[in-house]
Amino acid sequence: MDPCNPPPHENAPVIETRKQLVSAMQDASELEHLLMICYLHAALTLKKANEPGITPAEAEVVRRWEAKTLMIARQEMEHLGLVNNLLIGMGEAPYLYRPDFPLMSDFFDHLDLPFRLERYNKRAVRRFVKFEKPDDPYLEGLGYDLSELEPKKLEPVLTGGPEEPLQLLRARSLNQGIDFKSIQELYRAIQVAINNCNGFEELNNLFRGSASREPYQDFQFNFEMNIFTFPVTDARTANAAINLILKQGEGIDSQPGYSSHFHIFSEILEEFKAANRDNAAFEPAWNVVLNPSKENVTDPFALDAMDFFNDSYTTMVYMLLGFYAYFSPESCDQSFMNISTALQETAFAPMMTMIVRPLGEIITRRPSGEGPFYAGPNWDLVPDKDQPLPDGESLLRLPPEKDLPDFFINRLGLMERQGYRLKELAAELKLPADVQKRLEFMCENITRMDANFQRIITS
Amino acid sequence: MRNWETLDIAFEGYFMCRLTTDPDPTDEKRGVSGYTLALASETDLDNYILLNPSEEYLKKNFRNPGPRLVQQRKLSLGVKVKSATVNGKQYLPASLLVGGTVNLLDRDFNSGDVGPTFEGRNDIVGSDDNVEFPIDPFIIDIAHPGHPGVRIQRKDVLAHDLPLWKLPPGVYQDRLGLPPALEPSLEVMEAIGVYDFSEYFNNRAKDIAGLIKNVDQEAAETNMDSRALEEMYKTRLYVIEFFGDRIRSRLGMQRIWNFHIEGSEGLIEGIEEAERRLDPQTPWPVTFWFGGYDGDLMIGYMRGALHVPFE
Repeated sequence: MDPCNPPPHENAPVIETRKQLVSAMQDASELEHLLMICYLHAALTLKKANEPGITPAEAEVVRRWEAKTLMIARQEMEHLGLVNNLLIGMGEAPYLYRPDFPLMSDFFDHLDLPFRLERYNKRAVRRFVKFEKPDDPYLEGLGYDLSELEPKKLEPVLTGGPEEPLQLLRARSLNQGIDFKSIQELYRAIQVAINNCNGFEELNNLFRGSASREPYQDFQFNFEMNIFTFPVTDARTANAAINLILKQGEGIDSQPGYSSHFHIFSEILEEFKAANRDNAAFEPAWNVVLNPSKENVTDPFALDAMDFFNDSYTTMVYMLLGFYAYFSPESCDQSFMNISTALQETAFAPMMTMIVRPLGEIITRRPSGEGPFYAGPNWDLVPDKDQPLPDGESLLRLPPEKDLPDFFINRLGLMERQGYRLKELAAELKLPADVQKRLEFMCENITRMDANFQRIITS
Repeated sequence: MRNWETLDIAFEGYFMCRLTTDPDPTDEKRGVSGYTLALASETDLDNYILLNPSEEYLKKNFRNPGPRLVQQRKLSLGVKVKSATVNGKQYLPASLLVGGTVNLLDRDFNSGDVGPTFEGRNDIVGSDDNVEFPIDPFIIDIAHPGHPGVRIQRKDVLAHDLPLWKLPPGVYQDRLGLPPALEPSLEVMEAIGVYDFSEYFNNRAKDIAGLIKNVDQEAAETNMDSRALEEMYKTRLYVIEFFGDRIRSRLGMQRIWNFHIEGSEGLIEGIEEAERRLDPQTPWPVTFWFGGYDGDLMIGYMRGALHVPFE
């Protein structure tokens, strides 16, 4: 496909400068990150077989929803990776920051689409469909119920507290005078700029980065996980990345029936409605409070677990930031002797699947306090106390490369202490045996991850 | 090459392991995002290596069409002793072991519905990507239910007898096994009689589709909810379709172990001649492989041999 043909519609935003392009890509990074967390959070609230209030038949349907939602979240991570590869390919710094929840983005303001942490309910799924919705021409004749997707058509808020405190996320590109209306529009504008379809002088010679510093030169995710990443080093690979993102998300230029995120969430929404027709009381998720926070969660165990979760999740993001910022295949060639290998072997499967996910599942099954609601993680990025942020700056900041090993060893040590403290608290409070067992397993794994990390960087 | 005589006990057969698979956490009980799942009527996933699962365990966890394949003699579950020989010739004192069971025991030396585990922990101890799972603990137990006084058993003891997660990888390399030179493994394909993995799972999908058509009858026979049965079958179809190559490729995978069982004294009962004793102290070489894993039925194949030196 020719990225410059057909030309964008006449009202489409146009990127004219490198600075605007970088801002747009940082917006893309924030959006992918926010979407990923919205999906992960909802998935963590879904009930499993043998949990209360769900029949065996419903549990199977719900399990498939969770599997599909987690797959989509993994692909959002892939998109985040591809956007960062694109930034690095252009010689820019990786960008993994995002603001805290809940918030309303300029992007979706006209659609009333807040980024909120919400349990898996029909309203949330409808919102996910709208997030991933392609621009209208792509939907014609494909059989989707477009009435579901009308702007402002959302269900009443079922909050766990007072009015939802939405902050406004002002897109970075807006500061550059560019206003995008959808994810598709954002990526298309980036693509038009990368190919310099309009011939702006400032958009010539964009790729100034060193390809050898880009992750995935000699590291790839397992394709078996439905994650496809590759180096982005020029306009050709950038086009491939953007086309893949839009195909997986919105289904752009896909075959009919392709399992885009939009298609999958649309199917889930239909299944949800069918399940409700069969059983009006069908409730697939734990009744997790909307936008969990220290204001609407009072249970002491849940509060400690939320802190532990945030520090673990932040450590993971720091690790990914370090992985992108300091990756070099030359250092990888000295097998097991460098920070990038240590980060690669810790940040992905161990942190994501063995700490963040199980801890999230523990929290969403704990009462939030008095009342009918359950707690949930609030996914705050908590900057390290030894890496203070300059006034007015909200980005996560890494120490210099020479200090990275100690920085991460300290972070893992912090997690270890929090984990064991939480395990002790669970025992004191006589929480169910399966919770205590899960925490003990998690503590073992953090201890071992810490040892693995130290072994790799010192061997 | 060994320069001493050994009693060579060869064994093989299908084992069962309700394995958790990445990206599920390895303590995920029901299975969500990996290719292995505990269906609503089944017990939790546990990662236990059950070489001879009990009838009760199978009743809960061995899915259709598994039992039907057993009935049709197309499949036989259980790792059994095939021969007991010395220098390739039958060794009569140990012949009572032939047809007996080979089991791996849990830390408390119990054989039953708990067992030793494939320890993966998603790249923390081992890795699911290439089925690089160390086995922990490793206590081999060979006996024959028809001959109560006959048994051979030994535990492999790692440094300080600690669990794997507490040890550096170098200490348990032996327990990790190695991949074969070529995959898919011809030996595995021959052992399970499957050479076309796509056809194998296409047939499985057809089997499951057929089971969906008969859920009402199955529900009446099993006292289960027909809607639940139908949804369980749909989940299995989803997994086979979604994971495609990943679940298919596991059929041809093989992991080979070859190490010495040591650090403890072996137990030898009822298989020796008075004038020729087996040595319970010398390390016992053991070599075996696991492979041919069917992630839908959660069974795989094992073949190997234990070599017990004479004093």
